[in-house]
Amino acid sequence: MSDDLLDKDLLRISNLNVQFRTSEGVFKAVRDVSISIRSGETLGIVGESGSGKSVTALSIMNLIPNPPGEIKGDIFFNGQNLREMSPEEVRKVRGNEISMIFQEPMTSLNPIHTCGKQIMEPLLLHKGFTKHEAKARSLELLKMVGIPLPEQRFKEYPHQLSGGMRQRIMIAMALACRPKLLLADEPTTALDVTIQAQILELMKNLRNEIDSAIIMITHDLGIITEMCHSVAVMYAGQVVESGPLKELIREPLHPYTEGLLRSIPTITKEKQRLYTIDGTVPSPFNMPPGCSFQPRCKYSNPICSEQTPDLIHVSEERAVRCWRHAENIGIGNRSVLHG
Amino acid sequence: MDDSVLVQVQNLKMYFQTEGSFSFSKKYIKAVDDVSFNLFKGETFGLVGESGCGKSTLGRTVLGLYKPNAGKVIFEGENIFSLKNKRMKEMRKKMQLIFQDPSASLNPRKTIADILNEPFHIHQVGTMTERKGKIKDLMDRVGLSEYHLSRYPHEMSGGQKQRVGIARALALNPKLIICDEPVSALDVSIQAQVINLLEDLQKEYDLTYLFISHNLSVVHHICNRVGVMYLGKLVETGNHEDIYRNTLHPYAKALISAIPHTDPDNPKDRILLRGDVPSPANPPSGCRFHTRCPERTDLCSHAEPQLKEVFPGHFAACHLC
Repeated sequence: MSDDLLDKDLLRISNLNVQFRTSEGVFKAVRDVSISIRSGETLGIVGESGSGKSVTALSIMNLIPNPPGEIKGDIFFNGQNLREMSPEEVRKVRGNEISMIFQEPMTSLNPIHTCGKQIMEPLLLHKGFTKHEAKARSLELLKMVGIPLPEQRFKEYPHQLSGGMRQRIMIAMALACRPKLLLADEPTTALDVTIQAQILELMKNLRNEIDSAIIMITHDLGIITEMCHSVAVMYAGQVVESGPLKELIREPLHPYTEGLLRSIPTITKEKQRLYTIDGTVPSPFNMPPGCSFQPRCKYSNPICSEQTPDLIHVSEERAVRCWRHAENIGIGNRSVLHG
Repeated sequence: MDDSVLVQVQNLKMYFQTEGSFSFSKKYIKAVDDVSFNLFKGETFGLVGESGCGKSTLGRTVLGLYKPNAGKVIFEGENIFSLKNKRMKEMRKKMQLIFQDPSASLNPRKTIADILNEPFHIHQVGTMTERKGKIKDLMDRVGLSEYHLSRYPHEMSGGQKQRVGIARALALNPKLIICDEPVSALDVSIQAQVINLLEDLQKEYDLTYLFISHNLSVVHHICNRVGVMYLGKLVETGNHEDIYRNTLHPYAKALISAIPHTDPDNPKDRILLRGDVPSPANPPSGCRFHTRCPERTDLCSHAEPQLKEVFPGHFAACHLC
């Protein structure tokens, strides 16, 4: 990749591999993932449980414990390789320039500290604010995320708040230092639909306000459609397809994406039998040979079970990991991203 | 009674006591408060609402798992709460439950064969050989192979475990199955498999489903009629077309507009509700939704609206309808 491109991207992950050594064997959670995102953009990572989407996010934050985790690959943030930084340097970036909203607001807030103290923490740590300044800024943040009576909430503990409120506190914490990159790992999964709508609206407004890049990790294609500019679909630890949202939804290239889109019931679809993808996600300890989706794929060819397809670019912005498209393009003029 | 009605739920109230042991200090959570509806034979009735609105409690009370504070559940002409124990046990064969979390609802120390044998054992149905044959049939019917019979639940995937849960519910040829969030713990690609299975089984065995879910898209797909609950009350019921296309109650409107859509070309207008769901221990006066309602009037804060038939078969509890 040229230096030119590196500069334009806020975050570029290339050939990320994460594996865990367990008593049952080596478990490859993330295999050869390369994604990039620019400022102001929202990238959606969609996949089922165990597809490696959360592990990808945790590796960006350098939160994978080692051992048992082993990370290979490069993560460039603002031109710097996060993988080559010392723990102290990474700590300066984490919570400051990159921050994360976790899935469970119930378990990711500290129950023995007040909400106010937790929002103030990154400000005191990274920005060198005095306590007084930090408090003023925290109250501002609480107001911004739409919490009524911020002065009172500031003094309360997480258990005194509802799920939606706690998620807002998490968002306020994540936004405290005006991060350049926000990782949102299933930010609304634990919430009710009406509260989910509020949180998504809030995140959209904040994105416009701070102009940060957001990586939205979810299994809900509806949320992706609503929030994101581009999408990466993950299956069994690999990115199987990526591209701009509208094109990907309208014309999915990978059989898994196609199946996923067709199998979701929606309120606009006619009532008819749901399309199903047969079988289940393969066990990480027992991956099928060749393409990992091949045992469930309706287009499967002999080559699919023999060789692993590469992620190939079918156009400037779209890439797919499937032999069908490798053949369509012809081996001669395909541009291999990595392999 | 009308022949087509399988279950009549009449003015059901289920309160849970939270604090105080003296009569003057007792406090109650009104999980289900004066709910009435009918379940027709062979239909799927969807119950939707946010967490804490009482939909699961309602499902369990219909099964007789809780003793309600007031009201009746009339199953095939008999009020299940006035039945003697022996008669009630007979009745339980006809109504079964599929749980949300398949991992938590299967005994981890029993094999799948033992788990599926349990309904037959409890109700003393059939000889050993008959049971074995029936269990094999059930496994076949839900798409599992005989090989799984000797497995333990932890050796199976979430989708397979849910299939075992479904097989167990089917064992005694029930008429009514309460499905309490049967697909929400499953992955998207597995959800569709289980939904199709539930639909096939309904046709084959002429089952009636009470389908409890917070996922309005799934409910839209599978249900013939839908009831929307808010803080222990049914606020709107009707055919699924009525509920989704001609929504009456402001809460139901907001709920339906909050579903994330999958069509990037048609972004829709959204009704955003302010605030959280109030605590069911201390529900607002008048209409329970008035604190969050975008269309509220003065009347709403003190007079409680009753469920009334606005269009034929389409009921709503709102002063504006």
